[in-house]
Amino acid sequence: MLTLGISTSSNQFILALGEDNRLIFNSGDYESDKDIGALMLLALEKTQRSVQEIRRIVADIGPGGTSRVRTGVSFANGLAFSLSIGVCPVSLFELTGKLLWERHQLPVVSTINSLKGNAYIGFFDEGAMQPTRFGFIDQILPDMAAHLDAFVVAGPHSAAIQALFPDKKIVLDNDLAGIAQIIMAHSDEWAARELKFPHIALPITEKHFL
Amino acid sequence: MSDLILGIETSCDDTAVAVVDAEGSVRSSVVSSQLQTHAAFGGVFPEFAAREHITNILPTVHEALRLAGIQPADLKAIGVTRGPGLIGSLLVGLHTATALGIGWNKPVIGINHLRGHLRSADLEERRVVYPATILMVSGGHSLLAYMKNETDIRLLGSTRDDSVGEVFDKVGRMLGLGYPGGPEVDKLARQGQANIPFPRPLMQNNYEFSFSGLKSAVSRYLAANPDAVLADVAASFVQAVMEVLVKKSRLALKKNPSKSFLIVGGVAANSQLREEAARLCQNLGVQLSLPPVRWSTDNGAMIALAAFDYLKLGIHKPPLPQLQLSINEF
Repeated sequence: MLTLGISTSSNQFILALGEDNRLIFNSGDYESDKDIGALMLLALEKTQRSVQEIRRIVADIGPGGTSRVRTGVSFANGLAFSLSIGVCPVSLFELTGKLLWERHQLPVVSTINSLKGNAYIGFFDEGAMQPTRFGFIDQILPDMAAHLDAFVVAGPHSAAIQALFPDKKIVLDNDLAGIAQIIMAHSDEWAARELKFPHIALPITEKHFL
Repeated sequence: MSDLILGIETSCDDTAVAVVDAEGSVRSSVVSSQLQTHAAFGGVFPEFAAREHITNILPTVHEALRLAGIQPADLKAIGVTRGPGLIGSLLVGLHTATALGIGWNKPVIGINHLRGHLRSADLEERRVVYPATILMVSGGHSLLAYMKNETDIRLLGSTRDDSVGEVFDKVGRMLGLGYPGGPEVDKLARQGQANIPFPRPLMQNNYEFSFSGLKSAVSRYLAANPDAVLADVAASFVQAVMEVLVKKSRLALKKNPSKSFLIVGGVAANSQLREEAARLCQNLGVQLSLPPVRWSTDNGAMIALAAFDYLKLGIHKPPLPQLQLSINEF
């Protein structure tokens, strides 16, 4: 079974194809721009596969840059509709959480900037995603991470988080190479979330938290 | 395969999809309006517009196909607005269209929204006789152009600042008429006397427009005259706008020999503009070509019809966003 993975929330667009959980194309291996359609055609060309063979789409729904997230989600929804299949939505925090948990075996705090000093804050611990929070870092994190001795931090607030916890061991890691492998390795567990038209995947926005 | 194109338009706040054939017959046209979302802001809020497009676009595509009674296999191509417009809104339409094209194995052509509007007058019926002078007046655009034929277009002049539709909406808000203010200003103006000497900007002999000064003049007048008769303010404002539009249009028609005069864009629905244009055309012996009101505002059918022009000329613009596009461009 061919699975398509799309992650456009972070700076580098990732488009991946996998067969039976095995990665067979990763756009990160190529000089690629942010034209998601061109990446899709490149993936099909390099793997000599037909788009009709795609039976599952896993799409990162953010949080992240609004235009970037929309690009990936619109493309995923449109392709799923055209192929009469569904989209399995997954948050960027879940992807980074799994990636960095597997890399460091430590809880993971991921952040994304939002408006007016607010941030989205993701917390991945004990192999599972905890509810995402939205607000000011210095008001949310002290409670969220109080019980931890050490954790990984990803995102633009590393310095602020280090300043909040001078006595804890904090590993800074913004290297998200490996997202494509994470999507393929875990796509089966996200299959149950599949949204098929008339249900569609929607980007995570601050509206979910206000 | 039928000679049908799916047109997708998401440049601003309406999600619009249509199925059209090469003769301009509209097999289906569906518009998902966001009017209620933006009414509270008194204008289009770009971030919310993009969010609604994501929610609305596939149901709108689905409905357009259903109403047309066709399958994706029946389509020749997909035309999608590539600009000008709001970036978030454009991205949703473009990436959805790109994906549909890959999944259905159909070419996807990026279309200049302005060229779509120009072709709106030929939807369902051939109304335009070439060469033609065009006045495009909408919430996003105000310009005069000259068309030798469907595709050979020369820009004569455009607005230096606000568009006509934008100024109508803003004056509507000043008069407490809600959003969109244009139709309400038109209605209110009919009940008043045009007795306030608002400025007629850029009345010298060129094709450029400028409406922001007029908008400010209305605002200043209302601030200085809290007891003003609002119907008179509306009538005076509308008369000022009409005088500018008619004078520039007359100049364009005289200097650019035209068989027809075409008015497109949302403000083409304005009853007073229609009356003034009819008088102007009668005086000059030019045919007036007005699209039905439903094709004046943003719609997918005009994008689909323009896509046929692109195919005919072998022009294939990729479905990537362009925030700024001149009417001369494809």
